[in-house]
Amino acid sequence: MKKYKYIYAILDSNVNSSNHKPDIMGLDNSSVYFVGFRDISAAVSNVNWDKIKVSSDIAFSYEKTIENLWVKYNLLPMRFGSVMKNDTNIVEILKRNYSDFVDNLKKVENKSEFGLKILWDMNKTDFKPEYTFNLDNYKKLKQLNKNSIYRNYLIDKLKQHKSEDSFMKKIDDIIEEIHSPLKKLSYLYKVKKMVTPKIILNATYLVKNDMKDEFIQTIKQIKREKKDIKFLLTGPWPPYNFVNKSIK
Amino acid sequence: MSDEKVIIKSESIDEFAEELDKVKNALPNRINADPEKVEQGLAKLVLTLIELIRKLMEKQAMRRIESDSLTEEEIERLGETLMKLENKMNELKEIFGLKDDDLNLNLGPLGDLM
Repeated sequence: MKKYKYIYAILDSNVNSSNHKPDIMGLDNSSVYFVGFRDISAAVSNVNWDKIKVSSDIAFSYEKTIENLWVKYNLLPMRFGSVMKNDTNIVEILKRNYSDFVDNLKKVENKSEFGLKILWDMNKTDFKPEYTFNLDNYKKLKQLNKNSIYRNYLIDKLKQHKSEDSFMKKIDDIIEEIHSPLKKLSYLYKVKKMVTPKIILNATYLVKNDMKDEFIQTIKQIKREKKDIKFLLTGPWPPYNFVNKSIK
Repeated sequence: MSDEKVIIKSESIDEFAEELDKVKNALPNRINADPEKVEQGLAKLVLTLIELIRKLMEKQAMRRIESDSLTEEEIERLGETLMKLENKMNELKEIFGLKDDDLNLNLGPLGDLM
């Protein structure tokens, strides 16, 4: 059974520091240790790769290990499933990517990630798409034979598109009202609109630790004001979504 | 995700889970190789992509009509094309036992396909 080095995170702590035994368990009941280069380290553990299957339990264990490390260190989480053959290979990665790792570590230092999902079900509200349709504005279409099924088909389609535009405008307005105050309280953010027909916003925010309370209180306040919208705020998380780095 | 990570939630988060499952199931992870269902699996994949293209064409057509850049003849031909295309898609969906929801695909910033 072949052993591999599972990499959980890159830390801004030197392996030679007194904290080099983190006393944290990794996957496969292995102990996490550090492999260092200059003033950064990789948090790794020895795993039997054959035992590591892709499953939600393993993913949760991996996440838990990173969480435990994050309590003690500033870190960049590594992608789930990052393995190397030996410590020498890991040192090579730290060397090759040193400046990018350091830049990213500085970026996420003293910050936490929060995830916000907003659910709005139009069918459970009294919202009605508002639009005006005046055939006089479409002179050429109007001039087609009134009995043409294609003319009538296009008129229906135009109305349908106007209705959809009205719906999207409403969505944009809701997102703006929620996101606008939050982006001011965030260091960085990533926003996805209309993840599903009902989840109209899926956003992640990187928030300075001294702004966390204000950030959470702001969302609580918005939630109180918006009765027909459902909120799901999770965190604080390690900065999973704010590391811009492809390993060389 | 453990509950301790949930800071704010509305009454029930089940609705979020149901919605997110839709994203996961938008396209099959793999085509069902069951001989009796392989056609439907492939049809779902292909028709989803065709529907995406059809919707984009339709959006573009509406813009062209609104910008008044088409002749009467072109508008009529466009109406005929779009209508026949939609009818054909409905036929194909029926043949393969697919509903509109089955061909739903999240298009990120473009919103949902259907």
